[in-house]
Amino acid sequence: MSNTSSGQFLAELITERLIKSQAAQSSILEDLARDALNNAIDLGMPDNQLEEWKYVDLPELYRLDLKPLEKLDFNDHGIQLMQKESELYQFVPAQINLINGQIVPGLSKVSDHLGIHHHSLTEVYQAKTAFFESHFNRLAEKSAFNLLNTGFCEGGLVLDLPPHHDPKEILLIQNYSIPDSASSSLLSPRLLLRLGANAHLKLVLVLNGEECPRTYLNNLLGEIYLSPNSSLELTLIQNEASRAYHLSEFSFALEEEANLKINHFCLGGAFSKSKIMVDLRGKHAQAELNGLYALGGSAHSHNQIAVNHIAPHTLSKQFYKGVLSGTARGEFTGTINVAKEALKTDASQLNQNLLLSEKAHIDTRPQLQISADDVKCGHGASIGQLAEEQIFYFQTRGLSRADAQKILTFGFAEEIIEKVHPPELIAKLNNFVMNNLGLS
Amino acid sequence: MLKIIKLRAKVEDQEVLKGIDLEILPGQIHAIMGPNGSGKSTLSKVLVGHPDYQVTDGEILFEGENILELDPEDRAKLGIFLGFQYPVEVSGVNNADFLRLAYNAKQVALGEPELDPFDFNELLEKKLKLLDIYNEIYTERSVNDGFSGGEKKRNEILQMAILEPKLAILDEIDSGLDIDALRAVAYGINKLVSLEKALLLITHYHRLLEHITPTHVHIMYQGKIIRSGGKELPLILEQTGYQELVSTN
Repeated sequence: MSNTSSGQFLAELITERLIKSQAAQSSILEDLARDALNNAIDLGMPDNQLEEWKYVDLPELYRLDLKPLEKLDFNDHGIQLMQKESELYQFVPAQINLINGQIVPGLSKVSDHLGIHHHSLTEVYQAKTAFFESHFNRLAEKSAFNLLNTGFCEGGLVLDLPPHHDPKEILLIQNYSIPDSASSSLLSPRLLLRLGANAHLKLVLVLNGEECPRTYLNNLLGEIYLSPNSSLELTLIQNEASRAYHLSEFSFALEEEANLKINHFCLGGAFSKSKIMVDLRGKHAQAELNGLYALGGSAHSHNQIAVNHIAPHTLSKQFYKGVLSGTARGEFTGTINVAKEALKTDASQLNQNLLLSEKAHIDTRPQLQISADDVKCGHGASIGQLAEEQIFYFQTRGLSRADAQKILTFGFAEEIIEKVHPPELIAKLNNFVMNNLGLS
Repeated sequence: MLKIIKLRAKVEDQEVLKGIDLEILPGQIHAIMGPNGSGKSTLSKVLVGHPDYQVTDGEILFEGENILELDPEDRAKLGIFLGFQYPVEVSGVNNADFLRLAYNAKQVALGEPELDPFDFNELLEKKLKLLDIYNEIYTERSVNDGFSGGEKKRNEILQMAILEPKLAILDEIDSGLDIDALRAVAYGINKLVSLEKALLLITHYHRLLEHITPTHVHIMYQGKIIRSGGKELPLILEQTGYQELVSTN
């Protein structure tokens, strides 16, 4: 059943894409796109037999009749929305703003502040740089949705931070999803980022979208390279529109002594699946992944983390927390792979969940695959509710039961939120989280 | 201030309080002593409205008002405070924030202005100095998180100092404390005693009462107050033990 519907879903999309490709000569990356789509046909769309899609209502997703956007130019409505969103983050002056994966030139100010040059995928592709050849589409898994992204991505964002570049300021990249008003939209933003050797960047990446009656699928793909001795501190905020479907995959490759820190927040969308894959390729590379999913209503979110220890003396820490209310469903799959050569690996994983209602549900799956000796690997997972004795303690101090629940939930989430800079962003995240859980 | 009339209460179908009568007036310091399982701690929890305890008969009047139907937070807002035998650890919630939220809840209930974090910190520093427990753990750390036994008890007294209750019930505030910690806690309590306020100390041993002089002492046994007297009662008890006292009643 799902095979038939998924086959249809793919066929219709691809036919349309190919017609468009013939009509518009200027369309980018035609060879890559065609290859990707052909591969996608061979592979077929995933169904519920696969563990990572097991609890996802794929038939419903495939029934959505998704269409890529007809027009990719920006209209006034979109620019106004983007402008407003941009102003909400004005505490980070250096911004690149994208609508549906395309840079909005008037609303992107980067070179002035940071001296970073950003380009669209089209520009980089046309320049045929060696960087593009060797890095684009090299890291991402060849899964059906990733191939769809490669087939449909337009515009895109490429950032190449030169070696030894160390802007002290934070950079904000915001992608705002504005679906078509006539049909459900398939959006395919794409990000390619490289930090040169000894380069350092603090990046806030916000993925959000317009609240409107139409749904959309934001199928996003990012490939991020950290050269030797570089460091990236990434705050990744997924706050899509409440009806949206969000599929994202960010793949990271870390060379020797590279340092990655991610603070990851999954807040929006009716359904979201966020995949973060980290390859620790060079000695002494290290990755710290902190995450929080705060889900209310009937939202469903799957966080998939995979850290691959490929080189010796590599270090990774996964620390994800989840708070779920209503009938929300959460999944956490955390994988640690230690290759045979990755001696002296130090890896840990912790997943803690707080269920605020009896109908909320969480599945947590630690997956450890260790092929090397002499490694340190630890993992832990917990699922709990607010402690009645804590609520009572607060009540005896004059705080209502509802306030006590709010403060305790906030305290649980705070451990992840407080890792973020600047303080204005912490305040914003606090609001997002409490709103999501119906506790504001 | 507090009047308990023929109070009976049970937990999980077991009757623990079997008819308690007690009256506390402003300015008085009452101590309830008794062996383990006599119902002392139950009484303190029933007074503040713990949901696990069910009152089956009798009344609790606070300043003339029957408080049995009130939620714990509403009893707190009337000015009743319980210092816990085992203060609860709450990681993730900063102690100073917690104190401010509690203080402001009281201010709102009294129709008084709330304090912002800056002004509240001034108040907090004053109270820390008053109690002579100036230490950054009470402002920097999460509520009781990783506190030693003595620090937890001092944090209870700090909360009492911030909230300025009319009636403070201190449940075994002396348990698990070494002699220095006990002295520090008693010092704080004595600082907070006044003619308008009342104190109900629940304790196992008389040593707390060497530092805080009670006006009234009650002996509780098997859910009842079997004997009441003045500050001399703990000394008699010390010489005779509970058993003798029970058999003479």
